[in-house]
Amino acid sequence: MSAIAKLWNAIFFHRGNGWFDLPRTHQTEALPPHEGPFGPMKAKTASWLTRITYGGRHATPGFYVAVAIILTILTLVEVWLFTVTSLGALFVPLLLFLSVVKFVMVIGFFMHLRFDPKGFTYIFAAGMGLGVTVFLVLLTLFSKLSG
Amino acid sequence: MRKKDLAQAHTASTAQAHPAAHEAPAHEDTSTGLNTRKLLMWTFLASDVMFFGSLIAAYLIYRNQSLVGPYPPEVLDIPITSISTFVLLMSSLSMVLALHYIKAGESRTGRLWILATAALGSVFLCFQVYEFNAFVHEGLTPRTNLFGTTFFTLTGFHGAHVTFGVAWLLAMAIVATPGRRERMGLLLGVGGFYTAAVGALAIFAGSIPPLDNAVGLVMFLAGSVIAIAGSYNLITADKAQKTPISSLDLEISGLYWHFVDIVWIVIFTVIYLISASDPLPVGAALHGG
Amino acid sequence: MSSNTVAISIPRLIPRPTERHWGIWSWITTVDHKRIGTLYGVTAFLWFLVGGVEALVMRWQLAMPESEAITPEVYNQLFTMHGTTMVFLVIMPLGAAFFNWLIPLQLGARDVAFPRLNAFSYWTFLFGGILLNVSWLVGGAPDAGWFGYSPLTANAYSLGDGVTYWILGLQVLGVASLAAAFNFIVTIFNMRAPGMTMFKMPLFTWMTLVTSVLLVAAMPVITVALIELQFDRLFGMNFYNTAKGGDPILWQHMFWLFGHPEVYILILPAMGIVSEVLPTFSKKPLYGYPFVVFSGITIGFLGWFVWSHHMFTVGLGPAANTAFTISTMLIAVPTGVKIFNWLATIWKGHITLNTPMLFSLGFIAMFTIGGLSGVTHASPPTDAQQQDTYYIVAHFHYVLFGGAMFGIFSGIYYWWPKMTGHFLNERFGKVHFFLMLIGFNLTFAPMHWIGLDGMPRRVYTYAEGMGWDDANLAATAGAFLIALSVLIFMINVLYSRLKKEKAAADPWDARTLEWTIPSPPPEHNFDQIPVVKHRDDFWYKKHPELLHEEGHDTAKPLGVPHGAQADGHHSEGGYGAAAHAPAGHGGAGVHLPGLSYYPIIISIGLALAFGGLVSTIVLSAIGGAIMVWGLLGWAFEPATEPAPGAHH
Ligand SMILES: [Cu+2]
Repeated sequence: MSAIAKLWNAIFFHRGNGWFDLPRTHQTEALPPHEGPFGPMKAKTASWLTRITYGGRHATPGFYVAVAIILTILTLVEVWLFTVTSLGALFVPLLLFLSVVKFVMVIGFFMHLRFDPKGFTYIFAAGMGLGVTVFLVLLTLFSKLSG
Repeated sequence: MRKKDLAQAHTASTAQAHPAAHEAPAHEDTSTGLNTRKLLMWTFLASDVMFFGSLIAAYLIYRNQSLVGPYPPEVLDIPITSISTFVLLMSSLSMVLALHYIKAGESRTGRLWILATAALGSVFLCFQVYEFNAFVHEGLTPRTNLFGTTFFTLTGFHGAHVTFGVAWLLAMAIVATPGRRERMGLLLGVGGFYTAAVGALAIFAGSIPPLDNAVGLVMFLAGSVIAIAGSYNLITADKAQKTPISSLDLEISGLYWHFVDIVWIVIFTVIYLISASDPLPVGAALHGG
Repeated sequence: MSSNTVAISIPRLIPRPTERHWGIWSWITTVDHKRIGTLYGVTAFLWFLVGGVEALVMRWQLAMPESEAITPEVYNQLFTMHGTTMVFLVIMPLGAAFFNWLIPLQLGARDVAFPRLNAFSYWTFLFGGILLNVSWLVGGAPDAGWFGYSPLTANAYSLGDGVTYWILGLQVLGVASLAAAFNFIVTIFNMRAPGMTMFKMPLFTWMTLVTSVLLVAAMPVITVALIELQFDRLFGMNFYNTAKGGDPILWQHMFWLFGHPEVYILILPAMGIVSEVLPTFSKKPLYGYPFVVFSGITIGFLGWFVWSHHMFTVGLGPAANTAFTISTMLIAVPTGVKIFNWLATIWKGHITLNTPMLFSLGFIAMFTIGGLSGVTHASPPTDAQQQDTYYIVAHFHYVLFGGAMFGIFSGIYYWWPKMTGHFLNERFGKVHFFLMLIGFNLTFAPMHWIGLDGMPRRVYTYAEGMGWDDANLAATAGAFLIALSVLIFMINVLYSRLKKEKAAADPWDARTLEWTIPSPPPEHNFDQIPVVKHRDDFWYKKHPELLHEEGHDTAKPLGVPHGAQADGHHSEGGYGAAAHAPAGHGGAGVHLPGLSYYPIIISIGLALAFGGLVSTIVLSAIGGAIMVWGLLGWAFEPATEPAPGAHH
């Protein structure tokens, strides 16, 4: 095996499983430590993320309050961005990004898509996907996205 | 089969976390394992995405197309709307807390959070009434220009959704309140609250014809006192009292409520923050600046 | 569903209806999907007669050049109402009639997921149709075309209330379609018999699912478009007001954004019907089932990105026109896939040429012609010649009459024995088919010619000597032939009611679950919920020897929910006692959803609330109050009454 192929496998594969395949829950077997490009970091991060977002479990009031605080901070950042006059072309994309983050947090945590069976997520995502695509096409026809 | 094991493990773990009897089963006895009524609500929400999508698209297509003023930067009041946005956000928090406590069997706390949600939603609506009223005073009606037409239609339909949600939550609160003393508290609390709200509107909007400031102040103060008195009954209600409310019913109304909130997240960004930064047409002077 | 809800003693606003089985009240309060299906079918057929008479009057006027039989104003109202009626009051609800009748039966369920919502859909459809047609009686029907192009619909150009009735009627009808679509999506996802995975569902069920998804996504768009138009007309807003910068093109986009998916909403149910009829009468499984399913899904998805092909002459520019040309030509591919699959299904089959089969074959032929003429106007330069001519009229009638209506008649003849327990007469049926086929082609084939020759559509008359006289006379003769064939169909129905030629449970040797139960089905449908192992499960139950031969997947059923025994009565061959038990006996222990007044009450309130917007706001207030009352009553009435004597 050539050195390049070895490096390729070391970076991207472990027993045929891509290193970038995030585990579903924190109970999933952790990847072997000290292997792959980031060592145990990735598995630990993923497991930590799963734990703090209550993947597959019901959340506590404290968690909901924390989500609401983050949402409030994001809203404050949005309003602050509004007062900043030097953003130029970055202004709209930044605001849209923040509102997408808020949107996802509400449907994920408050509307329980993070905790519920995935079927509901698929249905809502299908509606969102279709709506966003169709109306982006419509706005393009009215040349609303270029200027 | 691995999937099935996971689902069973999931059921077991939830049962452990919440021994309360109000917990709906995680795996329903349906072909998909999804609860039938929740599936209906999510399908409805996916459809409502197309409804609000059409309204927002119409707004964006007519953005900067108004031939006459007032233009968005002249009338949109970002500080006020930021507060009402925060209020609606908090109503989502109280909604999710209401569901949590009803599920956990703590019906007294749950009922209070349901009422808090309805109250916050109503405060949001008051802000909307105040805002519409202010716009009309600044010369922007639905007929004035394309901005007025699309703005009032979009935010009006959002407000109609909120109104329906408030009515739904109040109905849930009534069902969640079986005792005589508590029902009296509920009646006083809700009645007082809306009296105070109308009073406050009369003061701040300053133009609800039959009500002047003095009457508004009296309504606000009296309403507040009655609301607090009524709330006392609810806060001190019997903790052990069973509530004949199904957590599933509440969860479904909650899904609707949060959806109305996420629509507002989009509206706040797209209509308020972005439109208020739009350049004014050449030659247009700021109103009352 | 979870049974942990503690019963609430909320006072009922009106006592719950309990009397079953006869009288008009049993129809008003019914929540049985079969009865609601019958109501849909009968009502839609009556509207079909209305729309048909409108067409006959138009053809009478056009039979001769420079005819003066009706005025241009009436002609405008006729073509508007003919199109609106046939789309919203005939083909869509006829599809809904089949959904209602068949979906629970094909899934092996006792009813739809939300029986009262289902009744609400029907009543709302009925009152919406009435609201739309009331306009005839109060000063003129809508006259701006079924597409209602702006600015024709503006107050300045459409005097009178016709267009307002059109807006309000369509909104009410939209509510009905949405409620039904939600119901069927949830029913199909959640109420399948044990073992029936998505890819073991009958094709008709699949097409119902795709149609319902399209409805759920498309109806909100037209609702918003209608709301905008309504606000312009009633409150003086500016959506389509050019004086204030409004853009009439926005209406065209919104309308066709709904309108093109709507085309598939109209045709997919017929495709589903044909996909059931052809295998039965060819004694072969549907060829390439997954291809037919996936091409249905692909059509449903791609159908969202072709709408501007209705607007090639608007001047959207070469880039937009090219993009929509490509997507439109692309969508012909999955449609073609279906046609080839149908042909392969009958290929070398043991074909029975009875009436349902004839209508299905007619469907394939006529729909292919309509599809091909449709591909010709996917090209903008060709379309520029065809736009607003009779060529377009010919095209969409080949798709919607030769396609959708032929498919629906095929379904009527096919499922009639199941629905009523009696056969329709074959001889009448064949006369009906051939008269309709000849009449249809005599009417619409010549329109290709005069359309390409330049005869514009939506004109109330034409000059002599244009060379259009013979073709128009032929079209009128054909239209009356179609009318005659419909008359023969009605005689056939009457004859069937009088003659009462008994139909067995499975008269066609068919393949799907609805044929396992008696004809007509008992109120609870299935004595025992069937357990499904294969696609076309019933067929392989009857012919187990074919299972291996036809290369069927014999793997164990997947996804059997809790409590369902995978074998049980199933192993005896057939579906237990279900097919033989006399109606009304086997299901003694089955708990059916209770009757309810509230669906019709809410529908009446809704129609009054909308109707008030065009007459007097007092009516709206009354309608709103009735709705609130109905909603409260509905909310506090359990879907299924607790069994007498049961306590919590
Ligand atoms: Cu089209």
